[in-house]
Amino acid sequence: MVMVFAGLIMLVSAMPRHELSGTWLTLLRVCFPSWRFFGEPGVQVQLLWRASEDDPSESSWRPAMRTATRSIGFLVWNPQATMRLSEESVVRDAVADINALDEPSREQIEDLTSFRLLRALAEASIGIHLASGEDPREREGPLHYELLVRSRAATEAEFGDHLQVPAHPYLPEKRKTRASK
Amino acid sequence: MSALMASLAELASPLVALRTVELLCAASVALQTAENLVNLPALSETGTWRWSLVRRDLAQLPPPLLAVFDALMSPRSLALLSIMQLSCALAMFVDPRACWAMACFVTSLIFAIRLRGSVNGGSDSITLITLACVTLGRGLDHDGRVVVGALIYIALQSIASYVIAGVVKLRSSRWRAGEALRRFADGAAVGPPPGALRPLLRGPFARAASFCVIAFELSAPVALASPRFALMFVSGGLFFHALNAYILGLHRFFWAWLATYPAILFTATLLL
Repeated sequence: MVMVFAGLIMLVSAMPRHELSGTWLTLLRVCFPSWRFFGEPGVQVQLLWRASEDDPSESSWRPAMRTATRSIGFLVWNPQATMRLSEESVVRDAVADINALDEPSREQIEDLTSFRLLRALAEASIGIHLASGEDPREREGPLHYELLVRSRAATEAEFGDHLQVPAHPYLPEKRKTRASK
Repeated sequence: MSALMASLAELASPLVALRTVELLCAASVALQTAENLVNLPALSETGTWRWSLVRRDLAQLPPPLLAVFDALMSPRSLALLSIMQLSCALAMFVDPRACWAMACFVTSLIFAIRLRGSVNGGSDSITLITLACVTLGRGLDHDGRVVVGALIYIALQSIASYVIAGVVKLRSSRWRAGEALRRFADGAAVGPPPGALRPLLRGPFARAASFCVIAFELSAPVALASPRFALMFVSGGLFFHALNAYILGLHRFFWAWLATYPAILFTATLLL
């Protein structure tokens, strides 16, 4: 009986599935997993940003995703690593959604929830950068930033530019409040 | 070894096995919740997972239901939900009741919606499966068949997770060549492996390590053949998940799968 049940679970898990998108379908995937993780190495992604007034060289791009490290309590506690994994999912979801569009316009891309989350990820990183006082410039208005998504497929040795998004304004919360007053 | 086998003999009792699963699952959920609390700023309107963006996916819901979600998903409500989840996980340690596991299940699902799917992929899935089975087993613990069924289901899902991941790897030429393992390690959330480990993930060492991973995962069903095999398998599993936690930063997987091991040990005693 146990063996029949085991066979049934294996069969259901191994059945071919279409890629799911959207919160509800992804939730279904969480509750009924296929357990095919770490099969083929997928696309590795990086999300970078720079202020549009920065010098336009390669070195001016800053990483938007947080960095996590190995610590002594690696078995118990690493919230940075947990967030880093979730941030990679945000970038991968946006790349997958954009790739699924047929010759998309900028408006179509900007309308994707996954792309908006990608922007939010970059803006969260910009916010931390500005709050840290590392930015030498005095800014009154919004900061205009460019985005770059870089990716590397399993067959590629180096990261290549996947998507570059032109300048977009970002107004930190404090300045938004000041502006509204 | 004999002391270990004696402890294992105790797990032959469905209620002892269920309680052990419950305690390990409580530890796993408590650690996950504590991390979620630390990471709550990422769910605020200045973070990445802004509710104003995520709620676009739910816009088709009836307005009253959407209003419930709006109330639940604010940073303050999420903080309260996290504290409630942590309290329920801690309550599972001292007071075995179905309601604690059920509350943890529901709050985990709410967090999954909030993060558009899951926080940490596979570990969320196995945690939800374990919580659902603990809820069922604990709620109907007067009926031995339900407890046994819940434990068998956890064990089989856990075994399936290894076997299917092993088959997928075996079919991949990159895994067989050792290249995939190096690729996953180089792209780990916690950065590339430290210098001393790097040579072990190249050339013949990588092929040997990949072979060991695939062989371990495919050997999972053998764990059900006898309690001794089950003990060997879960010992290997502890080492496997500890390595994954160190190299890939998948520490949540360690606790989530550890919680299923008493169910595997129990199921192995059933088939004697």
